[in-house]
Amino acid sequence: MKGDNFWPGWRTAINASLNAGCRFYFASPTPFQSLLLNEGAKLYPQFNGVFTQAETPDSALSMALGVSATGNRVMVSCNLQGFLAMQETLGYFVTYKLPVVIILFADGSPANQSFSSHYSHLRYFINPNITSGFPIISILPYSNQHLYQSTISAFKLSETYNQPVILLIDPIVFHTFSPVIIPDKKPDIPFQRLKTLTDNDAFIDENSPTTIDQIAEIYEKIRITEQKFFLKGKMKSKKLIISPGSTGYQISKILPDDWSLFIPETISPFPLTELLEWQAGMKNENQILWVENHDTHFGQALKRHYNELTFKCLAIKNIELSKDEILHQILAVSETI
Amino acid sequence: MSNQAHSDPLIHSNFDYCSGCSHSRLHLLIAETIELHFSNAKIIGVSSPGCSQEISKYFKIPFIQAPPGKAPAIAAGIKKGNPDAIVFTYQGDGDLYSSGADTLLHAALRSEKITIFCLNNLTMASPGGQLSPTSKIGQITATTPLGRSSSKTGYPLNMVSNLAKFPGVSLAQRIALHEPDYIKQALIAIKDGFSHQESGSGLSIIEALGMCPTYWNNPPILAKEQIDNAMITDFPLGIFYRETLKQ
Repeated sequence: MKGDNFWPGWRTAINASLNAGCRFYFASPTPFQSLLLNEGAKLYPQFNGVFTQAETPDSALSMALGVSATGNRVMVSCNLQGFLAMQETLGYFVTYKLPVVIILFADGSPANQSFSSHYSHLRYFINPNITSGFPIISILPYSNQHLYQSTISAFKLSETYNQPVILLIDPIVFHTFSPVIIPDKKPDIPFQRLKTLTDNDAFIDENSPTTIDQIAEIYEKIRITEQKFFLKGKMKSKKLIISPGSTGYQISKILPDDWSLFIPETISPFPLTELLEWQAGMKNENQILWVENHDTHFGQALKRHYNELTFKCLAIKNIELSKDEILHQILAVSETI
Repeated sequence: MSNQAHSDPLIHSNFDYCSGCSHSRLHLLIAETIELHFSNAKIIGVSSPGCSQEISKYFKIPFIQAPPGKAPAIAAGIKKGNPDAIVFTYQGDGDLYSSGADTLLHAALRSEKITIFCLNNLTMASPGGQLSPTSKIGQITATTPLGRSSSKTGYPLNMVSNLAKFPGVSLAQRIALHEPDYIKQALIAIKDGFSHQESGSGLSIIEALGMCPTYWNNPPILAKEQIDNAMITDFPLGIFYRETLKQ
């Protein structure tokens, strides 16, 4: 699992999890994230890992709770429906402060929305506070290579903050084969957890947040240190394109020199401060565009969540269009505003 | 994780349960078995919502509190991460056979190497004496004030005898706790449950018939008679399946 590879996203994610030192993976088959299961069922045993197909997504997360509570690194995967079915056990993870990485095949994810009914779920990831009000980090990789790095960092983050981390993979990143370069040196992720749930004093850990203020303090720390974004171009450019996920990555390849591009890499915490700085640098607010592949209304939801954002929304009909056609669509929208 | 010897697994035995409740007796029998036969083993318990969740208050061994019905899945996860540990769940019939039916069946299908203890007292005692999957026909509960009717709420579930037919199950036994002779058998069964797990043979489930005088609306002495006269008749005691362990 090193060197140059040509992988689809599902293969990248499984290989990255193994490289991150995860040896326990549980999941229940649901469309299309079951490609992860198929790969995990092959690869995990080869690396002395344990893969078990669970009967339900919630049961998979329950098994993960048992593994995580006794101090082991663990991963589960699901799609959006499965994720909603997991909420009960996810609440226990948050309450117990247990780390787990949840790979979520976000078929309703930002930038790629095949079924509009899934859209309502996406608002959840802007600020996924579950049960205890503790914020959960959700990462949205924009390319296969970025997915590899994001998977590694998801494990780091989950153990740093003792909480579940959600890795949203949009369908294009998930299915598309593209080059993935894996460094020769394996990532060294030391176990940062001091205690397991089976230690007698786990519940009286003095570092556990017990008040709203303490939770807010941790959230602020996460917000400042863990919000991630990708920038291309210069401030005060002719147009500012904001585009999450694989659509942003596609646009980055065809971006004119006098335009700039902002790709949010984390949905929670959302890199709002930086985006507002760039927004303030624009002379004409009408030249700030949120671009998605298909109309997911996710941009609209984000604007409702953060009133300060002023972009206009554009859904590209087909991301496989030529450079000129995509730019023509973007220009057509911005000119008509 | 604590690896201390379980010479005295109980913190104390001043149980807070209702008068006549069988949970305290089953706690004592599990503690005695651990002390006598598995004192040097790494033992992890999983408790689930209901009266049974109180078990973690009385034991020195680590317990993890499961969401409703998820204890078998969590125990399976613990066992996968700690193959050398003895992992058991402690549940009531309301949790295990109702919300936990899917995780129980699939743990049995996968032949998970865990031990499941279920105290069957025919009612959802913790929420206030409601209908449980094992409640008898005609039984008066908080949600069947005129008695359980098969046409409205179905039939009682005899899960252990059905689980005995699963190839992944290595021990399926029902015990009782209300007479000295039954307690002797119960001690053997509990030890057997742990031994089957140690030998790696498959899932072991032991259902203990217990009484809930509070929600049976009977004093303990009459509740005890009720077990003999009305409970064992519908839920017969015995070993429904026992795999022979290799020496």
